[in-house]
Amino acid sequence: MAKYNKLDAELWDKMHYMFRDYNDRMVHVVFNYDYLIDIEALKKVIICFVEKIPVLHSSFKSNANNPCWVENDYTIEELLTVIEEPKDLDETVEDFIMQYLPPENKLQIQFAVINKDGKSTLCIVENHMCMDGGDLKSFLQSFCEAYSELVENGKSPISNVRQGSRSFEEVYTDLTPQEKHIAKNLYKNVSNKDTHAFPFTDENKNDKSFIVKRKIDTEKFTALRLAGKAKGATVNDILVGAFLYAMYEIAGFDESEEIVVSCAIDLRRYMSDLSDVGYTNHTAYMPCSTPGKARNVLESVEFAKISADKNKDDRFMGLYGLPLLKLAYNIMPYLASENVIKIGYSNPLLSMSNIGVLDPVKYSLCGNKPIDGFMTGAVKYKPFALMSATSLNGELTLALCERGNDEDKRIVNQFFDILEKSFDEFIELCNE
Amino acid sequence: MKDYTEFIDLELSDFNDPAYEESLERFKTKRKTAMRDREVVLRKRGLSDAQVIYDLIISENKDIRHEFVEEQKKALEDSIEKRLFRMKILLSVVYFIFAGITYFAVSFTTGSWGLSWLIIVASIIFYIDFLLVMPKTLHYKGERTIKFSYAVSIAVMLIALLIWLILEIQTHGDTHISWVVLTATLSIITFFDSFVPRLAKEKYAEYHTYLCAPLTCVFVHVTLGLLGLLEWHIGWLLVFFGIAISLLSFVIDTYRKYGLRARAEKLRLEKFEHKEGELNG
Repeated sequence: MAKYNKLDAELWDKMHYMFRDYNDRMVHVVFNYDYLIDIEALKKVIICFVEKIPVLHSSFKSNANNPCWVENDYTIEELLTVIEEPKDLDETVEDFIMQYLPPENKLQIQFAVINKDGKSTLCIVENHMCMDGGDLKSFLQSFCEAYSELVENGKSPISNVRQGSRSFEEVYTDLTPQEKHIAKNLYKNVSNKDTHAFPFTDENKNDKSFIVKRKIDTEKFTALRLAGKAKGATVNDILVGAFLYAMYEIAGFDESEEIVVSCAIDLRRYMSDLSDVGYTNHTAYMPCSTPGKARNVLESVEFAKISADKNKDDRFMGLYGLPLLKLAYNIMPYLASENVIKIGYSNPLLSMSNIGVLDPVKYSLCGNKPIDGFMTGAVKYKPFALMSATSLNGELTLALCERGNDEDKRIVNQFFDILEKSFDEFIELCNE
Repeated sequence: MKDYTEFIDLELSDFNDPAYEESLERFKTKRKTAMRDREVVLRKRGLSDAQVIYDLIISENKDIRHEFVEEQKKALEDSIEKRLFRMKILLSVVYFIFAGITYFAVSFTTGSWGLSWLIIVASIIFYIDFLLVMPKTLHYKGERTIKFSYAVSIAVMLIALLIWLILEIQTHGDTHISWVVLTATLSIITFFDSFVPRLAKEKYAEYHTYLCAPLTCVFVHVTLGLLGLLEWHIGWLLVFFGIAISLLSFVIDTYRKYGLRARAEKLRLEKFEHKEGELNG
């Protein structure tokens, strides 16, 4: 008889469940391989990984007092979809990755392999409540490694999976006792209360989830990185600066108004050894702002850099708010605490997640590196918007997932056009 | 289906003590069944590779030695708890039988049935007090359900209550002396509670001071008033004195916390080394 265990709902599980009002909580991954994936081997890896990470085959029970996860039984057919020779690959990929997994679902992750013309596209959709982009990257690296070892050497895919605590308090483990004491007393509401938003149309019941992607080719991305390096700006600074600069143009904000965009930061920066930490969320947001519309994109990037540096100088960046959230969840029943937190919490209207470099070597299957791919965050509900950035094989992919209509899609495309123009302008200005 | 006997026997081969033979066999049988059941589940879920199934199940049972030791420890602890519980029940029964015998003996010999019932009341109070302050090792799983300091306060209050009851009966409720026992006891309890938690560096110790300092003064005021040692209209000043102590403590504690914030600010200003460029989320 299978034993269906109960798992604790951690702080970040509850927070991401609360975010159901703002986004669909799905994290999306697509990797294109010039290689046909061995489906039988993939099935073995999927099952072993899902067995080792019980939250992935659990349902979230939002009990009024004490929410939890309850493990479920499942079959591999419910986890993996295999599609052969679809008419339109891109449409098939988008249809799959735009699906929604309710937290009450018995599975919190879905895999798909779409085979076309002797090539495979691997798609994954996963509930953000289980793990964030940072851990999903790590999960996928282990996953691809395990697949390769199974196919090439017959090694069972069991030792690559990280298991351990999913508690948010793991961020404090490697701090000194004094730092720990200070960090655990940082009772501060750090919500971004800026009211500037994307100029989407009003919400409509006919709105549908869509994804808009924009690729910056290797040549331009390399030029952008080098230009940034010359000015002492990171890729993140450039993305934030260009994002803010483009927002003034697309939304028509007053030039004197300050805009704030919340940038995701990985709290694993505080953890030196992740080997015994479970897959979970350890993401916070840091506000990056511009005091007004910059004269040009170069100045906007400088504003972004100053703003980011101010945050980076803070020894406890990202750790504010955690003690307050812990207190709220501990002193009241869950239902009450969620309502109280919602009063004080302000979800950022504009946010950005630089998921970072996807090293093709780490995501290769039996030596076959992905030829293309990206990761992106959740589908946001209007008026919220999140732009994700990943780079693979020297190409930068920007993506924005939203629930809206064709007009909203056109606005996002226009935004990306302005962004691309800003990148060109930045390169030009840096080379002067 | 794979046979997990070899793995289980190998992992548990160190446990040769004949005293554990029966429990070891039981443990092995239970574990083997669980591992076979797990294999059935995995096959149903779609895992067909026998070697992968075997490796997965073995990896889930690599702590089998530790689990067996823990199970034996728990069984031993449960057995000790059971014996301790039986002994406690027996001693309680003997205690109350003795209290009952004493009550009847005193009642029949003195004829003072109107007072002798106090023996039963006193027995119950002493019994509760013993339960509250008895050594930790005698509690269930060696853990107190009530914090020791609170337990002592409750125990002392119960004794004071007993003395109050005796005095009330003796004086027929005609004087205030019996009430003085209660208020004096409360004064002593709140007095110690206002600073002992700080000395013991307990969490939230400062809140004990804020609450108990004024309460101590209130009870002292009532006690001295009942004894006629301090006029009521002057004694109120004591209450304000207590509130003043509370406020002063609050100010000092806040200043100390502020000092902690200043250290936090200093740490924040220190450069924190971070990896070049990547702010992942």
